[in-house]
Amino acid sequence: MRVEKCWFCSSSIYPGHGITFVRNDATVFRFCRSKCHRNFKMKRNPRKVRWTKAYRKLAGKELAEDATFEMEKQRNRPEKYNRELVGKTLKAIEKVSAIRQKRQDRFYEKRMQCAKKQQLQADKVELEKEVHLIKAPAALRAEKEKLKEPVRFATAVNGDAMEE
Amino acid sequence: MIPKNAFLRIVDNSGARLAQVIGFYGQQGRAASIGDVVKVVVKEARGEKVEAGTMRKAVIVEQKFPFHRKNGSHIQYLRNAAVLLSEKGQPIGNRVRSLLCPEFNKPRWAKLRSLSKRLF
Repeated sequence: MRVEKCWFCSSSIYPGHGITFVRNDATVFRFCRSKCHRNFKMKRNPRKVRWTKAYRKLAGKELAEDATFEMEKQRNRPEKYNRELVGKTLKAIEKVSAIRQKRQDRFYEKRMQCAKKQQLQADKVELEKEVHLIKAPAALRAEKEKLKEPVRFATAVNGDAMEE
Repeated sequence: MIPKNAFLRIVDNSGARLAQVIGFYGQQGRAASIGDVVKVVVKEARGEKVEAGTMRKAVIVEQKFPFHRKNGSHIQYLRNAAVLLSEKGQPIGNRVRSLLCPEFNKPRWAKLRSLSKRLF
């Protein structure tokens, strides 16, 4: 049993899911769900469809080249079953996944740092252009005071009614 | 899901090109699926090995309808295809242009498997 990768979106296909399509030239396409299958039938290129991993890696939104991906690559030489090897591999998988996660997080933070600067710039420009929409704090306070008076008046009236 | 009178492409080099299903072997026959042996009549043929108009046996090797396996996976091909068999059930040609699906892992199809590529 193998957990395959979807040809379109690169997500894992677990047993019991998805469709395998074999073309006449004997190329095999595996899809994780009908969404990917239908996109394929529409002849869409996954590298241009924004929600796929192929697009994201191409556009530099996600970690594309890293040593941690080497572990998952398919090797065509079958290994003879060895219990110790299996144990070591399992432990290695955990460690490698943890390292990969950290590297992906760091990549994301780096990418978002530029976003912070951009956001700050955008805010500055907005402030300069639309200062007239903002009220001064003193004016806001004065408004609040005005709002409070009628409420006090109303409670005084109710109070008299109760007494009677 | 290949019913009677369906056309199948022949994907071996026996010379036949197109065959029409006229009956089923081994079942009460409404439709045949991958791995079933059917009786066909050869409609188009090239070469001298097999002539158009003869009746032969064939085994269905590819089908467009998603083929459901017990492990939950579904496989579908782009066409309905078959391989011609002799009366004894052995393939006539000696090359098969198709990716066989895991249905053909049985010892019955050992010869067929040795002639073609396999899909796991």
